[in-house]
Amino acid sequence: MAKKFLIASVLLLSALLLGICLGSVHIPIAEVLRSIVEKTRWSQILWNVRFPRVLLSVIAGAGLSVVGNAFQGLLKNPLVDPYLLGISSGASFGAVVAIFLAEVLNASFLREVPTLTFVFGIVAALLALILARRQNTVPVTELILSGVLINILFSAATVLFVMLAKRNITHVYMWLFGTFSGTGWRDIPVPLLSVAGFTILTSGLGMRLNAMSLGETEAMTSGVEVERLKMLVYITGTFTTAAIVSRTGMIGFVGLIVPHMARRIFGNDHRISIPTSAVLGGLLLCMCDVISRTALSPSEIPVGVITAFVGAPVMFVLLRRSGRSV
Amino acid sequence: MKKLLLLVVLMLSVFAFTVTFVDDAGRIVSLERSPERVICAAPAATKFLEYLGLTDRIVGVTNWDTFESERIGDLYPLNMEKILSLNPDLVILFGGFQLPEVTKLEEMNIPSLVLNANSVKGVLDDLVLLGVVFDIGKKAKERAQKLEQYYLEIAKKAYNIPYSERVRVAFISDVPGPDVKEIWTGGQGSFINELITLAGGVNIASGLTGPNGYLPLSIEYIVSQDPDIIIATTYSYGTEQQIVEKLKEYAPFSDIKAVKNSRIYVFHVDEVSLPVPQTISLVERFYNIFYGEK
Repeated sequence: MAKKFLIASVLLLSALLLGICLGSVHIPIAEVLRSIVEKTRWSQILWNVRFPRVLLSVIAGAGLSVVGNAFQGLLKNPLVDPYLLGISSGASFGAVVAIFLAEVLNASFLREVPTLTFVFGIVAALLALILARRQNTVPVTELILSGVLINILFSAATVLFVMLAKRNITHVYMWLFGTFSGTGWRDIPVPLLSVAGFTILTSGLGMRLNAMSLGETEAMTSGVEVERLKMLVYITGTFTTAAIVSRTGMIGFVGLIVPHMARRIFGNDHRISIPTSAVLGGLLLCMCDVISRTALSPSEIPVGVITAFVGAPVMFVLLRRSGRSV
Repeated sequence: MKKLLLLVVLMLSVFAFTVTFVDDAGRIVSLERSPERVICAAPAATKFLEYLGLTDRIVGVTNWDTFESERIGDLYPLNMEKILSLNPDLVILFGGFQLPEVTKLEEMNIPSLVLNANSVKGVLDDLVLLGVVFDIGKKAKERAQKLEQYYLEIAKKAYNIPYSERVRVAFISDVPGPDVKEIWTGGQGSFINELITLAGGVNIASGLTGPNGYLPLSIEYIVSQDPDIIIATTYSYGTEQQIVEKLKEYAPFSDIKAVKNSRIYVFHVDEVSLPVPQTISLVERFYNIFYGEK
């Protein structure tokens, strides 16, 4: 177990290094190392373009995977992902509104795109939670259904807004596919803090999440305050997801598949599968981003496409080898 | 004293080239010297520099450019890493949809200039603006004036054609067929509408408009307007004749005058879609198509 974790962590560190060394511009490794200690002609690229980007890909991968893992455990549903509560469509609506307002007001408003996407993501998720509430409880089926409804509602609102606004919205499409392009240092603090906070919180709640995955009644009899735990994880998870989505756009698949990978490799105990989801998710998304920006350089492939092409076969191999049911 | 004088002269020579201007996005931009290493982040920007004979300054273009230079990738999102590696002293962008990229360039302290011409007048103004930026103001102004005289000469001929004798023109950027449900055209406010009008044609979509003047037309509308001439576009050279055949075979269009009289003209999309100086020569080509060379 410890050995596997060590290997994964070493792999993550090498992925980080690889991510910094590889990019659409070829920089010799010696030059990269030299840029760490002194200012060279590559410093600007390495420090202000590549490094924040690699960092955000790791943070986003880790965050989406941890949220996915916690949600899957809480809802006892293997098909749940971080976008369950309608965060993604709420956030896309926010992005369209922000991009529209940027054109109407002025361009500098574009810096506010993450703020508005963040706010609308949270609004959508809270709406889904409120709609699903029945006498102080949030039943699983109701929650999943209201999440689906909120998703449909905000997607329709997005399409309607795009039609009514009659503006040039090319960037909306780019945003919908998810990309790390153009990441800067200002994009790092909020996702980093929320992902770290959520990982520590849910790892600490690991025992309770384990009890939850046995069933709500079982959890209640073993002394877990089920509804409070659910609300806490939903709200903090939503916050974390919105913090990521508002910077990167929608990156699918990672939050769904990495928790399964973690459980296959490290077992079902949430105290372990949550931190390992973070490591595996960071590793996967970081590697996928390296491929996305180098494969067709200097053009970029949307990172969501790569995660699907890399993630699906890896997951398939894992499924075959372990032979257990999900 | 001598040293002080030398310092003053040196400082003056540094500041002498400082130029401040307002670009088409309404941004105030200051450059300390005339740019030597320019990245054209849109094909239209390259066309402007070609027209002004400034191609030797270009160090990077997008993948979609016909000019041969270092490729920087797509128009959107811009590859900042590649741009930084080319160490440009100016990046020229084109059109409102690239505006989000401007903020990224600003954050990296890369000077940028946004061009956003969507009329003949706008193109001429941008020529003069680039003349100021590249310290060839006189030459650029001459070129702009020459271009203005050139198209006005034809436009004045077209002025005298009475409305009843003017040809009605449909500009279609999609060829209808089983796979195409919408046909996009340029209405009021689009560059192509202005070119057709200057050449003496009546654009059937001139009473309509959309984002940047472009909008989708229904098949019914086109048929009901019964245009005398169809101007169509293609995305690959050498397929012009195929497009003509396809339009002739399209059943709903069979009664349109343009189809019956074989007055269908196909242009490559690059020739007609970019609001750049080179495209203004279309006024003459359109006039000749509409009224013969009289």
